[in-house]
Amino acid sequence: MSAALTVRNLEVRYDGGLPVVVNYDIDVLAGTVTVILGRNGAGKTSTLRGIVGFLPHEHGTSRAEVTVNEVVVKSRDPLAMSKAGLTLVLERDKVFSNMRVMEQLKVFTSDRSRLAEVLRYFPRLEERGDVRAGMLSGGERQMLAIGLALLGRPKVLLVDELSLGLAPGMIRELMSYLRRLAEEEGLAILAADQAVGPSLEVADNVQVMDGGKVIVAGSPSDLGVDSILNTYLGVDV
Amino acid sequence: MTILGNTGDSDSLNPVDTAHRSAPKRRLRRLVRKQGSGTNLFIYALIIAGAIWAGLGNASVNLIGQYCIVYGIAALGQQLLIGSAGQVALSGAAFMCIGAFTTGMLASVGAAAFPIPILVSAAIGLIVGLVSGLPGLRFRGLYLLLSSLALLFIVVQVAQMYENTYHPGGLNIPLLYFLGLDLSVGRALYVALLVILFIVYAIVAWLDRTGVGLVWHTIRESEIAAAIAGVNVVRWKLYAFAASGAITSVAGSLFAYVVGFADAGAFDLTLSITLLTMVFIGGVSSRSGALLGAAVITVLPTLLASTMPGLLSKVGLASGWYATNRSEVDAGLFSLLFLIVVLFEPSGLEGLMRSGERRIRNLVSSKKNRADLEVGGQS
Amino acid sequence: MSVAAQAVEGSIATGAIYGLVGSGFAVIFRATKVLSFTQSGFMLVGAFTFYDIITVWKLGFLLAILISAAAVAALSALVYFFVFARVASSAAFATSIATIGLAGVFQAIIAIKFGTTPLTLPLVVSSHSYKFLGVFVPTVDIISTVIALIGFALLLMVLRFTPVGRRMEAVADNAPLAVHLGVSAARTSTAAWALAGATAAVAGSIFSLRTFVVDPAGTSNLAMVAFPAIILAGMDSVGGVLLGGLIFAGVQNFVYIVWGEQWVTIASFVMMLALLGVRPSGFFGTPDAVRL
Repeated sequence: MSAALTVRNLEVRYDGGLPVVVNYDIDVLAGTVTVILGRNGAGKTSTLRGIVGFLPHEHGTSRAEVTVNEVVVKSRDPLAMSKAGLTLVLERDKVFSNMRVMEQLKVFTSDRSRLAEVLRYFPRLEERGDVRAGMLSGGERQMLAIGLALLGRPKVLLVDELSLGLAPGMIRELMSYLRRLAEEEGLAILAADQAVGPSLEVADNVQVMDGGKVIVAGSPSDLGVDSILNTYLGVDV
Repeated sequence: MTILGNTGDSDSLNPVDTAHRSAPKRRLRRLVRKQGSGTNLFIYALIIAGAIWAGLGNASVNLIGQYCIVYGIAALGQQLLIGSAGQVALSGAAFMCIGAFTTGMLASVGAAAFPIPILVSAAIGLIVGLVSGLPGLRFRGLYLLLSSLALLFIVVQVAQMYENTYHPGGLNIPLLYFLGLDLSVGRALYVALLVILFIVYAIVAWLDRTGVGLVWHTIRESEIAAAIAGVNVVRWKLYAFAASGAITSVAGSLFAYVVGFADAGAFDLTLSITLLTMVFIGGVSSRSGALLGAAVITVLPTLLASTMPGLLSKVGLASGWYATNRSEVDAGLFSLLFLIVVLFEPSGLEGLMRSGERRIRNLVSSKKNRADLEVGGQS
Repeated sequence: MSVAAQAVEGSIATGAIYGLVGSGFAVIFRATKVLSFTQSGFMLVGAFTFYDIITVWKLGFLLAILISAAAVAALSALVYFFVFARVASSAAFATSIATIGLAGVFQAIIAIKFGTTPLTLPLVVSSHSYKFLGVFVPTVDIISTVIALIGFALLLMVLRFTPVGRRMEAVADNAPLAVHLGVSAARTSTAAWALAGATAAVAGSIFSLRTFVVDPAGTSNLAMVAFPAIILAGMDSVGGVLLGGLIFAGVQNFVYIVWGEQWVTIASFVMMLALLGVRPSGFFGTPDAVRL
């Protein structure tokens, strides 16, 4: 079976400087979750943004060959990626803060059954339907962000820092959603995160990044959780 | 922020290699080698040649030269604001109005001895700038544009009311005499204006080299960085706005001398936009660009008047069409030029020349390299 | 008393037009963060298209307004798409300044084609005035106000209930996110310019209708004169701008009656300066519209 997402030779630069991500390759199969682990500044966010071509700050540029569902996406911009079936869930500003929850969900689909499906994953969103998204809790905001991305029936979902600023219990809950979405929607998920423990629980594959390069990749069981923590991330277990 | 960010003139910030300061030849060579030096030299040569030509010409050429200088000073005022604080204001005509009316009012109370009107105009422009700039300068971007628009309407309306009440039909401006010399018309007036332009230019250039200019440069590069470094950004932007107002008021006073009277109707939004067009066409990042832009925009109508009818008859239009619609066509062309420059060529003529120079330099150096290579291959 | 009541009548009629003018600015500002001075050019083009349709095609004024609105909407969309789209997304401020130039181009074209003196409209609306509670209410005031309110209501409905309106809302809230979710910012911006063009044409037409002349200077000035109303409401508040227009027209009429006509401009713009100093986001706008 061929991969739902293939990226070859990704390179990201800011303001014409030295590349912050070099020679990045990945294949993500449909129905699986891959997590990029790494410290702050390892190049995780630049990698995800580079894939979709969303580099508005400091004149970022990216080069890569990206294939979504065996279709080569030539144009490196978020709109074209979204049309091709790849959606990035942003790290910050990931919801429409001044719009109510249901109101914004309805903007992105005219298909009522799809909306119902998404709300089945995240019943909490229906309960909070009349609340402005700016008032939501961090976890609810993540659910809304993923829910918004799901409405367009993407084939590939990129998720940037799902765990940012959340309590450990909530991180585990959201990570388990990634697993469920991969299995039930047949999504190929590529997430970048710093929460090593919860990520390893749901990931089929792991890449550890440092200094803009993948320094090791494989399945959590092959690599061994302790060794990932110890050797590659410098965390004492 | 393409138009108002750093538009390329960061060469001046390059650290000077102090170790070699003693060797003037080397400095000269470095100056010549520096990208942009050719453009600067070319623009100044153009301006000086034009200035000499206008001074030697007949009375009508003198008159065009006079307007070039007046608008040149006004453009310097606008450039100070755009180039230093990175802000765009629509109040240029308001400050020119202030200068012209100050001159007229002083004349009517008998305090017209030159250069009193100019100095008073500058002072009033400075004060109005300080008082009116604050609401628009607390935030970036559009807010100064809007508040300066408000200032324009307020100032012109006040001037109009004064004019209607005390001097219906316009304020008389006395002839320009200085120390008994008649500088009121022709070449004499032209030279007098030229001297004033030089003084204004020198003051602005001096300001730019002092700490004041440095603070303004910092703000233009990044307001946030400047604020972090302890600069009171709003206050310094306000100073820039006020200084720009003072200079533009001087231009307004001189404008009144050239025209011979002051009428509020002359100072409208179109004039403000024309001043901005001059700065943008020349290139917002340098004073020489502003002067060049002022000259181009001032001369262009005359140039069009002599070439357009012929041009139009070639494409089959009646040549009389331009004569009857001249002011409208010119206004439309200027607006179009402004639109194109702001959107697609934000560094103006100066920018075009710079990239031209870069291309020539690259050509020369690649030829030289190739020559070097060939020599190397033979040996 | 009757002076005051008459002033209220005039304020409502003028304020409704200001509101319509302002709504066009707000629609574009929300979608693209551009303050489009070209709106004044579109009002001018709209007013003269209206004039042409009435005098040359001899159509009724309602039909003339509709055709003019459609034509200017198309023109506005084309202008955005071909002139501004590429630059607008990355440099909203530069684009705002450039729109001043385009307004000048339209002004020049209109001046060449129609001259610079006001042209009298044929009598398309009855000059009868109704007397209501001691106040004279000219028929044109009723018609222009009703048209302005209908135009305003239609605009709000498009924004509120159509898919494209909802997408504009999303772009206004968080443009990068909307793009990630598959909304073409270029397309919604073009739609916003089309809508704003239509409101400008309607505003220019009813302004002419109400004054019985098509006045180039007055019409292109209308946009400038409406600025204080827009600042009062907040540049990004489509709904608030109607109220802003009504309040502002009331203030103008008050100044007119108490101090005289020549103080209207001064008072209006002093008020605008004060508002910019005290409350730059207006009374209905969102504060982050200030951070450009």
